[in-house]
Amino acid sequence: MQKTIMIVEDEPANQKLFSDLLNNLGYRILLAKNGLEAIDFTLKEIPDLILMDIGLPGISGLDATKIIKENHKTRQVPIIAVTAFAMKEDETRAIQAGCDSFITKPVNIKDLIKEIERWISNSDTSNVLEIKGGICNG
Amino acid sequence: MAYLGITVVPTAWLVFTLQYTHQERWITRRNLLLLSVIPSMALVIVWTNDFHHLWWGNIWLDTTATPPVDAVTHNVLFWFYAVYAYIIIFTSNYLLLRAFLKSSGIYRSQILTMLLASFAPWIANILFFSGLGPFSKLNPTPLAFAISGIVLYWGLSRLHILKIIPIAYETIFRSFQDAAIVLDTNNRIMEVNPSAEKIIGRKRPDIIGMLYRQVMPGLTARIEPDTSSPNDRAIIGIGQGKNLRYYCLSFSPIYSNGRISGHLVFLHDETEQRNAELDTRERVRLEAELTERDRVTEMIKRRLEIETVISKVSSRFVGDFKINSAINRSLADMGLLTKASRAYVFLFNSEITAMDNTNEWCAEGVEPHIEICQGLSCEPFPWWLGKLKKGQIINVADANTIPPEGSREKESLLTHNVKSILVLPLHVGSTLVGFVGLDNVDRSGEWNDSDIGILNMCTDIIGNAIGRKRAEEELTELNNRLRTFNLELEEKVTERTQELQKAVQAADAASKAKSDFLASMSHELRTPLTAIIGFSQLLDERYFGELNEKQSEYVKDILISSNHLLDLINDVLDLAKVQAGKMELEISAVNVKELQDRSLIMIKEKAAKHGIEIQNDAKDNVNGLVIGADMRKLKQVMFNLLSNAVKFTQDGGMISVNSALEGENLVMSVTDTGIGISPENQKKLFQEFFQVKSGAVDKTPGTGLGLAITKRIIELHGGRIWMESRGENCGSKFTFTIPVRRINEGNKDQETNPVVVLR
Repeated sequence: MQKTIMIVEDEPANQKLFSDLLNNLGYRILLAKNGLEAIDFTLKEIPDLILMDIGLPGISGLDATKIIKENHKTRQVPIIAVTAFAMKEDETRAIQAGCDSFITKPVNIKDLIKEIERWISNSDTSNVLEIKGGICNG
Repeated sequence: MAYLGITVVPTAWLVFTLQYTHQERWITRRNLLLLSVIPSMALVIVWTNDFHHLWWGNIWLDTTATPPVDAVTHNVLFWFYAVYAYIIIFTSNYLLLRAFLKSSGIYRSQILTMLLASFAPWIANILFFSGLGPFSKLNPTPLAFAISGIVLYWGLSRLHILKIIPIAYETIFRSFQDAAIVLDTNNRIMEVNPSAEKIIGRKRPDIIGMLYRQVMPGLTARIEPDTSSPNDRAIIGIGQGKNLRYYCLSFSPIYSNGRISGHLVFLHDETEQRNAELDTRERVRLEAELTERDRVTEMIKRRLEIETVISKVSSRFVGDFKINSAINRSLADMGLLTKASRAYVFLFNSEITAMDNTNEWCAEGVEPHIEICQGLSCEPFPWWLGKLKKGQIINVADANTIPPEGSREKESLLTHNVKSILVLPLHVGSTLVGFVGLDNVDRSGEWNDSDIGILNMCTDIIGNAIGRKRAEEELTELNNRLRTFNLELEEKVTERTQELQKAVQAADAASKAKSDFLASMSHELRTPLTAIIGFSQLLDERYFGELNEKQSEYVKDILISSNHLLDLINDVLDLAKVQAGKMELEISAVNVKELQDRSLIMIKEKAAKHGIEIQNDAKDNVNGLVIGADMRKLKQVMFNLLSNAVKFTQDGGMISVNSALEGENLVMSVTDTGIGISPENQKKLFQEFFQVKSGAVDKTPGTGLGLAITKRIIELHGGRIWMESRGENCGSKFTFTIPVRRINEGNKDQETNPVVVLR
């Protein structure tokens, strides 16, 4: 069964990057462009996982996470914070708000996939992923 | 008529003996009257016997007696009177007998004579009445009276009875104040008077007949009567201690019929006189002694006075004293001691061209001069100044005799009516600061040498005190200046501190703005970089189909460059944190060996690519060592050092990692065989943005921030980092030490994540 991942991202290029990658990996994508949409969509169709940007216009990713995690219907959805706020305290804040994991931008694709698969497994896409060589980031 | 005698004689005899034996106190008018009552009555009765025959009864001629005598028979009253008469006569004779036993000398002989005279008729009478006499019928009493008369006559002619002179002699002898001793030619004591008894200490009966020598054993032969020097005198002492008395002993020969028949010894008490004499001598001596004592006392008193003055003066300048009142009192002491009219202190100005009278004491009635002696010029006193400057005392006994060179001073003194003056130089240390002067307006005269000594001493004390006060004042002034200076300094410091605080605040604000800016920059850069790296990775990973060779090469270049950009961003962010004081350590249990091994894994691939050998050494004492540290940051440090080593080491070189526990410090080092660092660059190495030109072109360039951040991390751990290099192309060795915070591995979980904030 196809899993649904909600991507919360305001930057179009990144929206496209994550959508294309995850689509390519066989996930169904829900795209929320801000915090309000993120809450709205989550309540309408509970996704299997949420990739949450923090620095969002309007309701921030942290606030959205709090609201989602406070609702008993959506509480169980794992939320991975994917943010350009790379400081230690940013991570702490995210975890406190209810995020289950924390990844800084720019993301290493392989790390991201590994983290997503920690929370949900998608058999359909397992074959597609073929890791070819590492990325050296010195 | 015969009865007139019979009745009067006994009474008259009693009266006589009373008088003779000095019992005159009994001879009163009343006693005489009483004594005469019975004889008068007896006489009347005798005369009137014919009428009553109370006296006698019959009168007849007794012819039985030879020769024949008148015979009478006596009646009651006769016998009564006879008894009375006998009592009277007996009393008289008893008195005489008692006097006889007590008296001596001629007096004794007289009494004996009278006793014999009185006993004669008495015995005759007793014989007649008792009938024992040879003439029992004849009354022998009248005959006995004749015997009495003869005896008394002998007594009168021989012993001058009833003459006053022997008695007077006797009286004089007995009542004589001096002791008198009568000696016979053999120096036996014939008679002593009561004074002699007293001196000898024995009673007359014991002494009489004894040898003079025996009685007065203390006397030598020399003072015994000597016929060769009939009139001898000597002073003798009798008795001992308090009882010792002195007597003048003198001998007077007693001449009888032209030859010496004995000696009269007189002892005249001269004790009082002698004592008086002694007293006089003693008094003279005592007076001399007293005079000497007075002189010494006076001297001691004077000395005491001097000492008192000195101690008073010196005590005034001890402790917290008021200089002016202390000097004033000292001047009074000095003035009173020397009986001066005035005592004063003058102080010069520093050039000794002018002077002020600062203190003055005046005796009662002496006009003070202090008012007129302010700001005086020294010019009119050249003579004095010359002497004072040489430290000499000016001693003017008489103002009129001042030598010509002192003419100006003389004029000044005479103007002020000063007769004599003493001026003593006043020094502070060795500097002449003024003088102490004493003068007399009422008398001239030499100043006493010892006084001058004391005054000099007092002057020194005053000079000393002035010096101390001046030093104190200077010190106070200096302190005040220092205080003012300090206050100014403090103000300046406060000012500067405030400025600095403002600057710091401004810098802090700037710094915060900078780090805020950096943080937001980092965020803003990361966002597009996400897309760049992400899409590059998608392409590189062939998610969406194959690439040709050039495309693949370009995609890799994009990835390398964008990752370098990411490194830069990360380092800048770290640095911003360090600079903003926001870098924090996240202390957890760190296994040192594990840290070392894992760090090497990160560079293993790259090193292998360049044929760089890696040596990994850890001392035994590091095995299993777990310390409290920030794992991630220490890893960052190790990664930094190792990647630098790889970066600057030529292909085929060697890198070695060493760790050891030295004392309480963990020492880790990374050594390479690389290009090394020149000494001038070694200093700049840990500065931000410093970069050594890399020789290896194909390796990723650094950010120039790594070592600066590394240094901060080590310092945050309380450690230190340094590098050693023997110069260019000689390799480098980076060493850091951090103090070991031991963490019990069992409590690892609890110890995780304690956040230590270090600025």
